[in-house]
Amino acid sequence: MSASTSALQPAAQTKSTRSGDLPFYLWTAFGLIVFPLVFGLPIFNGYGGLATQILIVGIAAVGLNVLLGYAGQLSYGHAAFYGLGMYGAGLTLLKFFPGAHSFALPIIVGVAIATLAAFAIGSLVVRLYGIYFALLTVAFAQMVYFIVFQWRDLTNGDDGLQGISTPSLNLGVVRFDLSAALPALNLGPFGDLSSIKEWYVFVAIVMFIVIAFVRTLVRSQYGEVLAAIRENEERSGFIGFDVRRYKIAAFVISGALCGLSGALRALYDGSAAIEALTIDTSGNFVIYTVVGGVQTLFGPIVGTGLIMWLQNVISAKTDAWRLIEGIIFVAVIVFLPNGIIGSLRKRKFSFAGLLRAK
Amino acid sequence: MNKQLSRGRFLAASAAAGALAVNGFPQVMAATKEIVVGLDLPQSGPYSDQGQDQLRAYNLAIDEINKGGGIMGMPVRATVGDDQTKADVAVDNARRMIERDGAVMITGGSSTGTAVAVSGLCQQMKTIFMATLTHGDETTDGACHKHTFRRYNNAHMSARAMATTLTKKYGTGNWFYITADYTWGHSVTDNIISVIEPKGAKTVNNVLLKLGTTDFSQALGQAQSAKPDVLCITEFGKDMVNCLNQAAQFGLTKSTKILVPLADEYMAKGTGDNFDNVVCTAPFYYKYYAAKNAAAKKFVDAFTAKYGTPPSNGAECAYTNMYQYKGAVERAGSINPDAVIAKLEGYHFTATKGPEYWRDWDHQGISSVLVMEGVPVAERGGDTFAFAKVLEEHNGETVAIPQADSKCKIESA
Repeated sequence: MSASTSALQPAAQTKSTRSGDLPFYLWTAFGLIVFPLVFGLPIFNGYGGLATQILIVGIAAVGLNVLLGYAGQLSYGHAAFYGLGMYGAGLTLLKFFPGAHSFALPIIVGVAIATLAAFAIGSLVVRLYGIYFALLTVAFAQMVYFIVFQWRDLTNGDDGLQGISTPSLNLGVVRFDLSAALPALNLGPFGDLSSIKEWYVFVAIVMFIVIAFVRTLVRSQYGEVLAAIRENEERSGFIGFDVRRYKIAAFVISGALCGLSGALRALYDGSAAIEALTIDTSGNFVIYTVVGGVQTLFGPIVGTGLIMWLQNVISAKTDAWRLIEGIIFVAVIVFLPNGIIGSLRKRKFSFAGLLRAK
Repeated sequence: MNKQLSRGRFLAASAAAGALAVNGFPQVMAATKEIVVGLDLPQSGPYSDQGQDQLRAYNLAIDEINKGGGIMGMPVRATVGDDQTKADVAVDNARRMIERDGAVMITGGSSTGTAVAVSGLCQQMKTIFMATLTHGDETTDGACHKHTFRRYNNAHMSARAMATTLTKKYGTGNWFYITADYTWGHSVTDNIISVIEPKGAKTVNNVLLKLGTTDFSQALGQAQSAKPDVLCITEFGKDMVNCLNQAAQFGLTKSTKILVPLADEYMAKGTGDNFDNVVCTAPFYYKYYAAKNAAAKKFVDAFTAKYGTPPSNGAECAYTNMYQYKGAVERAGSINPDAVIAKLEGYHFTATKGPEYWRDWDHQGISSVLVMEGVPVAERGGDTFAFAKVLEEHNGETVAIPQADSKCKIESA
């Protein structure tokens, strides 16, 4: 193991020196600040609440991408972890600890339940490859769905959980009621700052941490080994890596991020719906990731934003929004096989190559 | 690579063009203030017939109101969302309507599942929710909220209204239930059982099936072998149509007395002769009230003239909800939710039915309940919607849940 570690060290170093860390994080922060403002422009017809939802669900897509993009394993069952995070957080406030006015506790419980489930399911499914892997994840996700559906006494079955009252965020000195609006400030064509709630700020910070975490992860030795497994699993095994353990870890990390997304969604909506656990939700995560671009940090978020925007804004204007969504999905697969962000990045690289050639 | 580039550019350009075409020109704020109402109802899914008919009724009411000068001089504009009969979509829609479109009132819906979820959000966002087609007790019982009003009859009222008919016509033998497995189905079946079991009826089985079930053969097979005296189908919309039509294929409509606790015109149309002799309840029946009440006749005629079909009972509730909101805003002289709520609570009025009122402690509308019996298509006189004869009309007051038995506690804010 030590030999392979030292062999990988130089690669990791060259990568981190190639592009500086500080500009990346500054641009990320800038993007997260500007997103809800640009999104509110009349041409996009978005609104602060949708920007918040996109970031929350985007965390799940980023999580799925750890498995799909970086480890190369297609899961059609990540709704299970999203839903468990959601129900875990909701039930914490409604049934497990109804007196606890804690903001962190429901998130911790939701993520913990999702992580444990991801470990249990991941340990079993990583033995399989390709289509069998995908099918088994579907099977386990359906099991979770039916358990939650049938366990009416605890989960309310088909009715889901309602009336989850979001506690305020206690940071010791200050308390934030996240549903409060930001101060009024006229930003001209970008509308008014008060149309955005404090929730967005909180979720943007969480998203920033998630991006930093995943970026560090894929640039670490661990990420390099995952890439090696993705490219050639058999050879990675022969070199001496314990492929199964690496894959389980990727599965658990992606499951935990989906759980985090679900827990935040439960607190944001004040409800948990059984639809979160359906195969549709799993399929959505895959579509978000593929449309945005697998193996890219921002692809899944862009894909989530585009599709959720279509669902939310276009569906209010035309009944044919599912057709538009389908056409976009097909167009991306045909014209941009690397997804939106993946294709942009590729183009930049090819320009650079063109310049160097001359 | 060049070809790839041009493709990419082409796609980007067409996506931008598409976005422009769909959005149209950026909306400029109208000079006169308007009242935005959010219509959150199913346009797809098992309960979509009911949602589409509600949308017709809302459009009719809003057209009429705008022609008459709007509400306090402000025109009414509707923003519409398809809730797909799913709670999470319904909540997303309501949030979009309130946050982006500035909706001051949310209304519509065909399921107690979506109604309870939207009610929770509207309470959180301090926006009035005039629930429409929701019949489960929960909406104005355990999950009642200050900002939610529900005029439609509920399961408790239906079961009490049918009590005499149930014992007289269906008897106290063996009962077999097929129940939609969500809050509404449970509420209705529990209420029927609580009425009929003390009289001596026996529950053989209660099969719970997921909302959106299309194949009922397993449950109906069980019903067939159990040979019950009564088969109670607590299903709604297309689910009920599928269930009853499949029950007929099993020969159950001939061998067993069938009860459908809640039905409407679209369900009766979809089941045709299979609905013959089936007893159901409804809060409104266009034929009955149009013959009895001038205001009902005016509404039914206007609706039929505009759309070519008479209104279903959910459409009537939608229409009256819109006018109830208008009236309350005008009495309050403001769209402030607290002021509007104060003007709705305890308000007595006569719309398309008899005298009715909004109960102040649970925000349930107290209006009459019809007990009806289906007639064969041949006796409908060419109108497939004219599906029943009215057996009894009950005063809502006598059948509604008394405060002592209710779990409802309205919030103070």
